Amino acid sequence: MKEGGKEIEESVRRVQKGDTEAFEQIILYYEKPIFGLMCRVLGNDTDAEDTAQEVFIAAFRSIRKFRGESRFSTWLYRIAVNHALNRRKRISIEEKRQASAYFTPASIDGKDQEGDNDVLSRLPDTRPNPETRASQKETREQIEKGLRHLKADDALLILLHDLQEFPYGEVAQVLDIPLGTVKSRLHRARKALRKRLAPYFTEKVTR
Amino acid sequence: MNCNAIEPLLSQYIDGNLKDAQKKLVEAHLRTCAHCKAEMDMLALLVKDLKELPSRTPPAGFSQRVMSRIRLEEMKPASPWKRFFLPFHIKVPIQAIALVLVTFLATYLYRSNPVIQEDMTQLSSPESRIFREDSKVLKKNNASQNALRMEKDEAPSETMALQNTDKTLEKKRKSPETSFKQKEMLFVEAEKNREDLSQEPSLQRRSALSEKMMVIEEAIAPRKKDTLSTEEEAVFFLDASAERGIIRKKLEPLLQNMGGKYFKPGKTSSESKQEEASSEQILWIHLPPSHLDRFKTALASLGEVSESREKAEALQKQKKQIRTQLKKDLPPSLRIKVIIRSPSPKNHR
Repeated sequence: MKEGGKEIEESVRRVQKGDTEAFEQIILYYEKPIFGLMCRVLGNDTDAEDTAQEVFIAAFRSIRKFRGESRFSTWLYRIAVNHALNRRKRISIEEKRQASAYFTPASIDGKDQEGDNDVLSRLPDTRPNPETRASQKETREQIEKGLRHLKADDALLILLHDLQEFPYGEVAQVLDIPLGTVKSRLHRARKALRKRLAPYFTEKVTR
Repeated sequence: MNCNAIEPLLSQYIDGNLKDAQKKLVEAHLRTCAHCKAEMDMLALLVKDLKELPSRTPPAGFSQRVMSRIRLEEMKPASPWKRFFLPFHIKVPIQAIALVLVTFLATYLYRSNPVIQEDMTQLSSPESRIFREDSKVLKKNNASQNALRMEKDEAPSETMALQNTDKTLEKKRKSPETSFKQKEMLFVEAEKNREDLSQEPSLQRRSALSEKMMVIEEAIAPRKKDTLSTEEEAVFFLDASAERGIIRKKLEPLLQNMGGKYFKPGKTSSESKQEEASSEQILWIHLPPSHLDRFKTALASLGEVSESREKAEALQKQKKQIRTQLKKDLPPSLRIKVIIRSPSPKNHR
């Protein structure tokens, strides 16, 4: 994650001094990565936008508590991660409630063998025909789906490091875990994702 | 190095996060182990694909929507709770000072006013309400009485007639519900009478005046005679050099505070006859029983006090009666007889 530089620092200071309008600069700078993170953790745009809005509003409310002890992006992402995890939990609970009332396709065809009760794991399988399987678009979709199947913590590690390009140290700060844990868990998360995507990658690697 | 040692380092190797020595070890192993090489290739491809995932753009107008929500929140008045506490550095000291001041003021007022203290202790007892009412009326009547006394000092020749007025007023004290207008009327009448008397001080006139005052008195809402219902009494002997009148005056403010008052017993009672016969001076007092101890202390400050033993039992009986009356919601009061004796050594009782 690229830090916003002096412009963002200045905007933060202005907001802290009471200039509400200066907060728009902060939103404009971070809206893409925050929304992207939410999309990939939550799996749908509606929840993603809603949660991203909540993140910025929460950040605005508590911006006076930001003392510059960490980078602003680290501070903002901590809020984002907490909101993302909470929303994912809520979606999961809601989905469980619905599942208890109706049969879901996943429960019928037995695809939920791994015991993953996450709502996102029950999204319809959009796997296309083998002929077009290796297309770039398809790979992207499969990766995104694979990410949603992962445990929230594992997905967040990959998203923060590989997509948002946070270095190990900053990932540790955002997730509030030790650096060593970041290293080992990132490898474990990648392996889990790779396992899920095995059919596509085997094909790609052997090509 | 075996696969188990190398495998966990693959992600860091891909990220270029290994130190040179570790990097060389991994590279050496990958050259010889096809399994780890395949794993590494797949992970590297995955990471590459992850990094190539397109960034997502939020729906148009996202920042405006967030800003309008923020502006709306800013415009909304803070909740009363928030307003009370924020900003801390200004409000907390002000609130703390205000709290301290209010506490001090309340304590000061409470300590400086014994009536409040008494009221606080008596709030729950039914008799207290009636006595408070009575004492209020007493105070008002005393004021008009004092005014009349002042007049009396100015016209010493009319003492007799004014004493009559005094007496009617004293009776009037037993009819507590007197409106201000009525009292005013009474005062004007009294003053008019004084003027009349100074012009024509005949006995006939005096008796006429007395009658007139009685009529006025009757007109002034003759409520129940008093709030007393007990016949039992406490009797104290007070050995004091001071005269009855002085003692009476000294006790008066205290009695008012306690919701008690002086009264005159019925003239037909045997006690009243005894009183006439004896040289002892007697003060008759009605008092809420809860103030008995306080009254005793006050009495002790005026002279040597002793309690009638014969009456002690009666007092106990009365206390019992008071308790039953409380249940019946009747306003009880103690009837106290203070017998003032000259300080010369005498046998009590």
